[in-house]
Amino acid sequence: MRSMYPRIRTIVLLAALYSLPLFTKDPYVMHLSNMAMIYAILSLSLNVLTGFTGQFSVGHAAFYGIGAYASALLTTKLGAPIWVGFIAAGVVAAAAGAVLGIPSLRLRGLYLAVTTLGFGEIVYQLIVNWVSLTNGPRGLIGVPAPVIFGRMLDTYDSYYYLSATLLVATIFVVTRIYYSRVGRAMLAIRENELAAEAMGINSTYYKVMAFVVAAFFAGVAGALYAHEIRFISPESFVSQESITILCMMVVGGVGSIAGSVLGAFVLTFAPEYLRAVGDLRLVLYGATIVLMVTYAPHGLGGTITSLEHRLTHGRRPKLKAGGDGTTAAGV
Amino acid sequence: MEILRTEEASIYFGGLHAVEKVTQSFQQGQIFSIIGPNGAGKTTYFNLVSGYYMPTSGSVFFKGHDVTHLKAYERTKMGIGRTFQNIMLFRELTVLDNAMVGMHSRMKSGIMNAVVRPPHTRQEEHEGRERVREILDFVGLSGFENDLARNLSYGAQKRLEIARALCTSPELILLDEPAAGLTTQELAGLIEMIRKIRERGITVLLVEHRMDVVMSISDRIMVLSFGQKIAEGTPDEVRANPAVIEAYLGKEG
Repeated sequence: MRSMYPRIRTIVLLAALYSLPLFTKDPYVMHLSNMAMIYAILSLSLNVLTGFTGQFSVGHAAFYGIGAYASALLTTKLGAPIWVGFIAAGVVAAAAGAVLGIPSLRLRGLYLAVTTLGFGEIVYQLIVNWVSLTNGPRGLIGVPAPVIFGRMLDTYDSYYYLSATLLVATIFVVTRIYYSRVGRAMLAIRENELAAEAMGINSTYYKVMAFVVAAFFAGVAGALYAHEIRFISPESFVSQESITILCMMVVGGVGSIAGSVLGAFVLTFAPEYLRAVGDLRLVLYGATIVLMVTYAPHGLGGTITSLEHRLTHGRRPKLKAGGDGTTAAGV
Repeated sequence: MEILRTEEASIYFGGLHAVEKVTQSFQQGQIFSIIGPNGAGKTTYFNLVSGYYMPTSGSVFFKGHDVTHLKAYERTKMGIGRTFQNIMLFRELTVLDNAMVGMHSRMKSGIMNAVVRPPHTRQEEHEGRERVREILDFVGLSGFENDLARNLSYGAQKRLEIARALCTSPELILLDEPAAGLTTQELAGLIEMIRKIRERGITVLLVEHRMDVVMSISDRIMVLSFGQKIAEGTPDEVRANPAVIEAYLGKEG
């Protein structure tokens, strides 16, 4: 029973994810779902950088913006196929990640945070002021909708399946990295960089790698956004967005994969459904984050892991079991 | 056969001569202790050997290679393992994962293999885990695999540090005050463990304040005082050396 549980859980969650448009095609809900999944990819990618490797960043929207503009420009101005746009979005953002990662190696904590904040601001200003390329504050219109198997994904509910698939792919890759030699090296650097070096880990290499991987997925999320909304402008990639992504990761649980996804969904839907209370929603939003950080420091993900563990094992939870779970059955 | 040698190695921090022209050769298969009063430069010497400090002048040779300018992680790959004076475990990781991190340089899979997880990567993980279990058993930590490192007792944390260093498959292991803070009972276990580590063919370099431990297990001892090597020899020779007695107790009259 124990070993079956994760498999059953995966199947149930996948079924739920893919069947949602069967129950509602309401464009508002579908659009919000797409946004939640885009944010989930962003929050997951930030988790690789901050949650796994311990490198603080408040400039994640920069990679998101670079990806969005890369794909939008390639598909509108050069007429490239959309799948090329998605790949290019990831690759260009990853290159930017390496560019930011290398000078950031000597920085940590607040200093790194300020550097990434500065980077986010630079990218934003570039997008605003490089009018000949980006069309400046007026933004880019006419970003094409993807066509898959001869079907145009020009409605929010048809696009949903693309968002869901990319989210599942991201979760898969991030999980595989987490439970690997590479993931362990990242976690070791987060826990104690000096000791990690004594284990033969080239911390420089893995810290830059974390930047590259995080930026890649943020870039793909950018492309996903650009082709969903079909219009992009600089204000979608301001520093406030970076803070939002950071909040999603923190509320979900730093280092928790399920938490990142959950945090993104909660913080995407909650403010929308709180519109009824007017500006008070911003207060509630802030209060939720403060309460979460105070009373559930491991986030939604950590809380759920504890509950789940109590249900399936009936004992003290472990935040991280070894490897692919085969060891959990050993004791 | 010589495994490690420092030649005229010095480390200066501004005007402080933490290590001053230390020339010393270490033979394979020995248990070699470094002793000296507080602030003598013992830990600095360890950091010099393991690559955490670059010498101001002088050189370090490991297995005949000049490693003076190699970084810490590169020296670990070559076969220098170490523990830290103040425990530096990966606190939020499990015991098993702490040890698995130690296997890092003995495994190869990169990020692509992590994602695709081909058969040879699964095989490598499996073999790594087998070896880790053997080493955890060696230090007496089997059964604790899934506990978080921070939840272990102090003594168990010290043993995990040693296990983690052993997982890097060292030919030379540097133990920085392994006996500090242990109970008498744990101390006996530690002495036995250090002897067994040597039986595995690993050369042991030890910094230790507990003289009972040092005298009972060392083949040779080097004495540092104010960064300088003032004596070297067998435990009996060192004990009888006037310079050593003076460094520890002061000069008579």
